[in-house]
Amino acid sequence: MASDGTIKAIDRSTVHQIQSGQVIVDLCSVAKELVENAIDAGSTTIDVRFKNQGLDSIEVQDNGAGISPANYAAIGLKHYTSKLSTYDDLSRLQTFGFRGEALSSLCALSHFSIVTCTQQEAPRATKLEFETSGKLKSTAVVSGQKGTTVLVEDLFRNLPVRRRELERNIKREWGKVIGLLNQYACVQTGLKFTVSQQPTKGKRMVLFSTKGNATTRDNIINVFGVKTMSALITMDLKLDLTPTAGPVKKGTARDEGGTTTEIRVRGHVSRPTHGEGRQTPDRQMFYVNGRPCGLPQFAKVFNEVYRSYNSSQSPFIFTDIQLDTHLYDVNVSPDKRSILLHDQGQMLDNLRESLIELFETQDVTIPVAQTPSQMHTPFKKPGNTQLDTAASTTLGSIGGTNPRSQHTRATTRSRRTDDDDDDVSHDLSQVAGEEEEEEEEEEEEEEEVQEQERERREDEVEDEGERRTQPRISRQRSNLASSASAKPKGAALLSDWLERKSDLRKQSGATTVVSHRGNQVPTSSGKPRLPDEDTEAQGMHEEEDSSRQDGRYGSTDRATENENASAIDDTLAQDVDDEMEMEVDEPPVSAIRPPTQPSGLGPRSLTRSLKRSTQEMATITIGDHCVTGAIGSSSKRPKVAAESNMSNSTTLAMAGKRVVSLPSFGGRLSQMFSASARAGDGPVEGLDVTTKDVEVSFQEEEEEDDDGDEEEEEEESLFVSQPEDGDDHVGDEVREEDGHLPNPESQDGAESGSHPHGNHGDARGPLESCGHSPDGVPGDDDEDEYVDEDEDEKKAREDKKVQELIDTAEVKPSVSTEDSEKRSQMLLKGRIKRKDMTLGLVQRLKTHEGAIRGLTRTLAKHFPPPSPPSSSSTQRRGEGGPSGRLDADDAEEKLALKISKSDFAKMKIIGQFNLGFVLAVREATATATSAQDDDNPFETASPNNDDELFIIDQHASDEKFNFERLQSTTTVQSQRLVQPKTLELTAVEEEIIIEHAAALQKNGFDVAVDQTGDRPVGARCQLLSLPLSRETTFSLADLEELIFLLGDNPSSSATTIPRPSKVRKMFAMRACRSSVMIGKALSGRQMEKIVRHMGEMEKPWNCPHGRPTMRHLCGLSAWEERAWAEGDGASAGGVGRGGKTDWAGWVKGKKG
Amino acid sequence: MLQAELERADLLKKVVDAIKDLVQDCNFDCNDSGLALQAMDNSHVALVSMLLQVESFATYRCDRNIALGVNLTSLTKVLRAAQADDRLTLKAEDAPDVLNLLFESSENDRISEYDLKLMDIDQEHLGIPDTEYAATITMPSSEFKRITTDLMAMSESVTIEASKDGVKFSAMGDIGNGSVSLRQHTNVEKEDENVSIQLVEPVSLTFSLKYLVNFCKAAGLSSVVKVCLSNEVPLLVEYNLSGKKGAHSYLRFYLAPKIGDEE
Repeated sequence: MASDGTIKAIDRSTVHQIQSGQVIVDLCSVAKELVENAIDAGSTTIDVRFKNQGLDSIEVQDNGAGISPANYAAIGLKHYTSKLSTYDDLSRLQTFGFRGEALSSLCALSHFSIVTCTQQEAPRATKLEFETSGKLKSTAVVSGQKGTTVLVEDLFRNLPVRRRELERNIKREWGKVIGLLNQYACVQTGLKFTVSQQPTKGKRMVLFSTKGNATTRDNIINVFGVKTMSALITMDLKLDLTPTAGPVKKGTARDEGGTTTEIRVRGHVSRPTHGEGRQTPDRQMFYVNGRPCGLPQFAKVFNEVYRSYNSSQSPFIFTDIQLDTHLYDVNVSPDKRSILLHDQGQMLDNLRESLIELFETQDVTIPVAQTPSQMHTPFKKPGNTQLDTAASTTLGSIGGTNPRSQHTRATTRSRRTDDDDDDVSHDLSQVAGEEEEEEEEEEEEEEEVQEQERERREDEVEDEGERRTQPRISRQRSNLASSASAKPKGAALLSDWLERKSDLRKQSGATTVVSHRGNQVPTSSGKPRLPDEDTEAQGMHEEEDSSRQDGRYGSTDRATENENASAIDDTLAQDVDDEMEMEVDEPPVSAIRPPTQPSGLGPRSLTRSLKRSTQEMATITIGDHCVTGAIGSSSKRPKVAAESNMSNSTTLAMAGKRVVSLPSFGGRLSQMFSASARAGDGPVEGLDVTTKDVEVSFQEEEEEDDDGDEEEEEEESLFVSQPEDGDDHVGDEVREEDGHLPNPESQDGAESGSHPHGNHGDARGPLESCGHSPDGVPGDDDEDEYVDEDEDEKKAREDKKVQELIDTAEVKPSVSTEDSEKRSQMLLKGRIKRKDMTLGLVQRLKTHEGAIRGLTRTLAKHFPPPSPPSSSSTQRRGEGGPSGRLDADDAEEKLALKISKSDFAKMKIIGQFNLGFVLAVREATATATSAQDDDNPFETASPNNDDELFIIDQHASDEKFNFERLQSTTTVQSQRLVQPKTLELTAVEEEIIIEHAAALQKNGFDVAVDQTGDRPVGARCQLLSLPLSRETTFSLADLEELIFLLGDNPSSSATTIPRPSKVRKMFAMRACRSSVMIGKALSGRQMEKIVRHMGEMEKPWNCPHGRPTMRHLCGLSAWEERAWAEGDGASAGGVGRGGKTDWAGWVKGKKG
Repeated sequence: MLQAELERADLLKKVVDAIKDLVQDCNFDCNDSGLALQAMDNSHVALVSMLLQVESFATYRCDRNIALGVNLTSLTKVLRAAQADDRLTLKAEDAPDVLNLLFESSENDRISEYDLKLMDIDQEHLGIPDTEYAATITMPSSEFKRITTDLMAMSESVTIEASKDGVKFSAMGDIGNGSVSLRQHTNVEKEDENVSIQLVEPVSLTFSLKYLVNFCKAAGLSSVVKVCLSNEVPLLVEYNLSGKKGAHSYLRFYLAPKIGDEE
């Protein structure tokens, strides 16, 4: 332009535009300036609204002081500010802004308007509009609240290139803006900060908001979520800084004389543990006195220190450096994100040391084993069981009938809901009455049939779900919820079901395989038929069962499940009837359960019941194939049940149930042995039909049907049904499942229950084996079940759909569903874990009828009657207990368990598991029982609740110990070169070598540096020797890596010498080879040595390859407590005994 | 133009086999005095030096200095095609990009001919000073090989201690210690089994056994090995390639001693 070369002043408007373009460079600077202004105005609420990601407009609303009319004219003018009057003020600056450029720049680059209102003006606000030059263009009166709203529209409207650039990179810009606003939101306490965005079309959405929290911790939770926060540790470092003698300071800040030399570094940083950091170094926020800024040097220190603890991840950093305002200089760049700190080097060194100190003191927290969740389910069951227990005392003896128990639970729930009382007898009587009524009402067998079908379906579904276990569980949960709701609505649904089932039945009937029938029939048919009506029904059931077995399950387990399901269905049908009436009450049941939940059984039972209901739903589809027969039987069954209930109601529920149950068992056995096993079971159940009995029968059936999983479920269900007594029963069942049968359970009713279970299992085995694979061993059954789970899952999905339809059709009892869902979720978690649990494995190995019996007998002899039930219950509790309790009470406490290295010295070694792991208990205060590890059912209860059981990887921990020993003690051997090798390095690298000769030498590199200056820079270093190890050959590349590491980690004070990756790998390999291997049997002393060594290590938590060395298994206290409670309940064990005898007889019958 | 004929392909085969584990690529330097090779291993710890003097060849003609950059792995493959007693002729142009190898069977008229592509290898040539070694031990190469392999089982390094009493190879390892002592020994009937120790002053040095074991792969080239030690100087292990002709062909290995604390 000025071609003549003369130097002239640029005209003002051009200057304005040039400078504005410098201040407002992108979206970030707009948001930043406006937010800072809002904060400077003393607002407590800031609302940032973007339209179309800021392309259309950015609006920042605050409730700050507002702008007084006198300032209107000056707002938009360049270099006008209220925050700074002289340059000296800069060193005392407390506000974010001070340059007086932002608003005027915005005026130049966008459509800019302000609506402001001071306190006095209150509802009368003023809208200000500005010219490009920043002059006030117009004012208008509008309504408004105290505060200021700044609206920036059409950013960069007069800078087409920049505008285009912005539009092109809007996504990246947007990400940066959000990141920046995150920073402000996190650091500002007492400020309600909301950021929202409105796309061109669509709804406005809030991106994040803080709630005016008092702490940055809450801010971080608001912005990043609780999960992020849980991985952070709070940091409050004090760095003492002696200002250097003559800091070059421009300002007069010196005048203040007594300057603060203490620097506080506060904030949050990721826990220095493997897995707690972030994969990328995002979310690293630095502030100086609350001002977000980039401090690369600080970031580097943080990252370096953090990486020495967690080499593979980057930390989340939220750091506010609080220091006197004269110790830094903000006026570096227009965006004020660059800050120069005086004495930064010293500060960094101090910071590094403090950080290391902080991290060193961090005890490693280990996630508490989730197994507790599994435990929970059992606990929940007890809750159900309590209600049921009265009725189910007999049931408890039966123990094994989980599916039924679930049904019963459901029924019990309903009962509970009705009565809300624990007295099973009442409930039973009521139920019976209801059932009777229902029966009377129903008169129409169809309804009953429908119900039965539903029940069957449910049972089947449940059984399937159990087999499927975890995946199903979730579905089941949903199903359960739906089912629970569905049941009450039941009648209509039932009719629907009946229709569907009828179809199914037809199909099933066609498909029924005799062989399957033979196997299945005994159980299923027996149950439903025996009651009365059911020859036809039995046939149906058999057909159904067989069809199910053939089509669906293919495995005997399924068949048995179906049988059980049918039996269950019968009971369920009864229950359903009850439920139909009572179902509305189910929600209350859940309410009841929660109290029981702490024991852990409650949730499971609920989930199970829910599952069953869902299963029923699911079974509908299944039912198409098989259910029809079941429907008939179910209808009969319900009637029978009703009858039984009636009888029970008339007589004492308890007694009647017990009596009934025993005969029923016998009947079942006989039936089982006879060609139609189903019939046998069915009848028995039918006999039992009294609500309590029904539960028992269900349990039995379940046990029989589902060996492992079902048994577990059954156990759970039992627990649910028998809250007090039931717990014992449940425990027995659990033991049975686990193979603990021999234990205390056997002594009383529990014992009897366990024996019967074992018998059932065996009996089942043969029966099942005839049809399919031998399921006699619970473990095998479980596996089979798992295999089948896929099919089951499909079914479950279908069922879900059906359920959904049903749900929509029916009004769901909201309360029950919610509870059930929760419980079901609990169950799911717990279940999964359960299967994974080692206990289960051990149990499988041990289960032998004879051995179990012998053990149980011996135990019974030695243990006082009450104790055995408790012990039996303990097992269950032990597994589920801790978790369940955790849920209820100290969940938060337990979620993160703190372990310090000193704990290892005190840990009590329990033993070795699987030749690979050491089990150890950290005792809280008092003595804890030792025997958790090896499925020892008998733990003596320790008074203290804090005992924690840990599983320690013997190899990983020993490896880490050896590794650290190698790291610290080994000086890598040097191997001299034949001839010194002249290194070609950059000048910087040479400096590094000169600085870190010692570190290099420690790593085996010997470098001679020619300091005489004879050689040119870049060729001054000669490599004299290299490290040498057996297999590893080092080369110059390793030296280069080490030089890089040293350059990257400049602090000479660093605690450890960096090791090149090859050396580290070499050490890791050596450590690994020389360590105790998995599969090696260890003596007690060896195990103790390993555990004690962990306390001596620097970082015992992960092996050099990153595997964790230990995990928390569970807390022992809950276990013990449960045992205690169950022991009390065990008094009801008489029932269990009866069950025991029954089982034995049943087994004999089978064998015979 | 290079044309060099070896009576037996054996010689070159064994040489290449002996060094191919230490060196991947190297230059064969041909001049009018013979064929020489010098190379260091990857970590610059060991050095191989070979010289085949003109006398070792049946015929030898080299008009000007030629560097044959050879990948030893490839050369091994080619040499595998030669019988041990084949006549081997190496041919190359003055600025070669291939090395021609000709194998002539002594028993029949079978002639096989191979061209091996050459590479440009940037290799610095070290001037190896003539050193007066403090101790020079001559022993059967099989004995030396046995000592190294035996001690390799104990440790990764060996201390060679030469004194007036004899020479002692000792190794201290994780599983225990072991040592082999040799004394001056003269066997009139079999000169090859002589052990002679010429000592100027006692020496004790430690070396990596890994390399020594590697060197011993050349044991097939000569029944006698000469081990020379001196403080602060690389160990020299020399195998004489000249047979009984009186020529001065050799295969030498140099190995720098280990320093620092021994395990």
